[in-house]
Amino acid sequence: MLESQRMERPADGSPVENVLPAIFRDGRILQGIAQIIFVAVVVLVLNNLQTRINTALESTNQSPNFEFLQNRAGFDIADSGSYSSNDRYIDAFRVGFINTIRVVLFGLAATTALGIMVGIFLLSRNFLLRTISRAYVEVLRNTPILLQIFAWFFIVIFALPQQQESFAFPQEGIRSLPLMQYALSLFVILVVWQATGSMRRPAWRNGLRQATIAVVVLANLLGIVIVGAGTPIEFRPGIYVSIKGVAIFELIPSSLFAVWMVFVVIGAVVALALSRYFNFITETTGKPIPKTRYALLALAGFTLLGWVIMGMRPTPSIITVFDDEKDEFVDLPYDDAFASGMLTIEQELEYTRQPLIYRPPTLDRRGRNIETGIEISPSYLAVFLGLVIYTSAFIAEIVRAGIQAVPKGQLEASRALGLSQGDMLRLIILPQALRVIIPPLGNQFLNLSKNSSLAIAVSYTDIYQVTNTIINQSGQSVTGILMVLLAYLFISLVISLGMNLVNQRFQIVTR
Amino acid sequence: MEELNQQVMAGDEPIIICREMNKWFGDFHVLRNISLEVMPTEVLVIIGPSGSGKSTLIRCINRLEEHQDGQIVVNGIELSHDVQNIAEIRRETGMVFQQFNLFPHLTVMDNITLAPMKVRHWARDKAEQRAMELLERVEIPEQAFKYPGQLSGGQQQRVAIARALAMEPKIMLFDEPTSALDPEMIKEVLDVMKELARTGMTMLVVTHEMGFAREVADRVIFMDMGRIVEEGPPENFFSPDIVHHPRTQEFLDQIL
Repeated sequence: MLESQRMERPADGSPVENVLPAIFRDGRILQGIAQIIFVAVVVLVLNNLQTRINTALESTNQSPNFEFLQNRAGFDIADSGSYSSNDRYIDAFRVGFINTIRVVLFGLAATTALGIMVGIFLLSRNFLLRTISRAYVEVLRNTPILLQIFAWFFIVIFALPQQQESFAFPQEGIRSLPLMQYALSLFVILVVWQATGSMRRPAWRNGLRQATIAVVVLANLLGIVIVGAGTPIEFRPGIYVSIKGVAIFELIPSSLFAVWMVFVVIGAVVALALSRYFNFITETTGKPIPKTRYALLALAGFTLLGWVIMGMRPTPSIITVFDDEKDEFVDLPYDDAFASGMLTIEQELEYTRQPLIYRPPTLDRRGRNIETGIEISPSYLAVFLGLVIYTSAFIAEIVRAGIQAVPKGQLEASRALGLSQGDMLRLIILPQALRVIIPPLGNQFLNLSKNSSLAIAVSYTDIYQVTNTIINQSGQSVTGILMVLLAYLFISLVISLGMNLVNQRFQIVTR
Repeated sequence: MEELNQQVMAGDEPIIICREMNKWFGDFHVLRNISLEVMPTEVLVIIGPSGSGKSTLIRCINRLEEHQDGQIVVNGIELSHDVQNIAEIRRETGMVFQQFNLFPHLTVMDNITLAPMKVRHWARDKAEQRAMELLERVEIPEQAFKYPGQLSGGQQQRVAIARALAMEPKIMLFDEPTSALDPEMIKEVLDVMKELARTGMTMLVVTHEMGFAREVADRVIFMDMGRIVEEGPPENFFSPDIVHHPRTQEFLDQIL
């Protein structure tokens, strides 16, 4: 209307006829008025909502409160550790929260690794690899995540064998040398390999390397055949996979663990110092040194040294054990006591020569439940795999786009200067790609953490599933929903904060 | 130092040899039977219309592009799929690009010292000292600790030249080094290149700057449709008395 009036006005340069006083034509004032109106509407709506909720709840005699959290929960939770139905609602809530954290934390780590790998494959020159990863991404990001979680649960996991016929890794009955002997042998070979790396004459270098391998193999054989020190041991499977989920071995810290850790820490400090020192040498002389490899070798060396020294601890020659069959205490020599399998776990942790004890998963007497070892339920697996694999497709695309966002000229300049492929990736491509990758990566992390609430679909007892039960039993829906909201908000804010810190670190100044 | 290099290198052997070299981009035949020899300390200017293959030619010499047929020998090393040979040739060959291609996340100093430290394994002190010398040579020592984004186009291109020179190459390739610059910045870059030519650097320059070609080039090559159509010393090339190949004449008429 105003437009047409203005159009009709003769173009004689006369001022616009002012319909409104000046104050209402000031853009800043108009914006201010709009904001005041908006806030007023929001406050009114919220106020009305609150009144209605209160009235509704009062009529059912359920005013929102937090006291009910101290009441007995009265329901069981799978994947709950030491929780029982006699614990309070707040304990149930805590179990749910921990379960959510469990799936989100491991999920983030796994999906990042998988996503980066697939993202790099998407850019591979290998046709097969590129095509397969492209198909992976397109299928996974174009189907609903809920469907994928269902697929893992009802198709993949249900197809696994019954518990009595679990897949076992490694296969039962494999005879093996003690693990330490492998580690030691490998370490000696690695050290010699590294130390001979700078030798000028290839004949000497290869000769020394081959001689070392021969000596190590011979020593192992001698150890077994003559001394009997490296007697092969029967290896019990460490991982079982069945329809009841996955059972994984435990490594339990023994009484020697603390002292051993001192060696590990010293190793870490030495590794750090070595790395700094070699860095300094490279800076001042230009000589290239594979400092990371030396540092890792130092760390491995101290770790092994600690393990070997711990093995020399004094041990009692006789241990008293309880013999189930004879139903009495018997005295056994040290080695026999350990071989008998009659030691209690406390005794084992007390008298062992190892800082960590390997405990493979075992079933209870009825052959139903896992007694020792770490148990991963089928629900957890379905949620974990669903979240990780779905999100990894998005992360792969982000990584691909980030790498491709680095201009081609950067690669050409690096090549023209003669930089190696590795240096080019590490010093030129990654620093520029990460700046592009990190912000959308953070979004995907948030997506994964929030999508974890789909756990309810396969009855994984995450915070949402548990709170749902709490609400149904107590009727405290407002408090319940509020607590779940706060829990997810907390997780999301922690992730955001972390990603912002990482982002700041990588947003390198360029101008 | 530079004079000494010049004497050592100014032998009779060509430092770059291309024999019957062919290259295709898919079905498109970009380079056709290119045969070319470049002597040490020679300044060779390559001109021609866009799409004539002149950039591709110099990009083949440090293997940014792969030739499919024929032979390229640089500094006595033949270019093949042998990665060690490629690395060796790239160490001896500096390149300056139309779009500068400086590393935006590194300071000017780090841009220049990166390759000498990583590829030639120089100590940081030595690399930085050399970088400062080069920055003085291209007349921007005061910019050493700025980022490329803070410099003007002409300054960026001079840093790019310093970065290539820091590897102490025997050959410098220039791929339209002034085409992305404002007119008043072209001169500062050309001045640096002229100074470089005077010190005896072997240079292959793809450019549209005919003034530069006339003043500095030892030889000018005209390319069209992937072929070397005509070559000769610049006095002849730009002289109105010479009868050119009709395609060359057409090109020269358009730009002169």
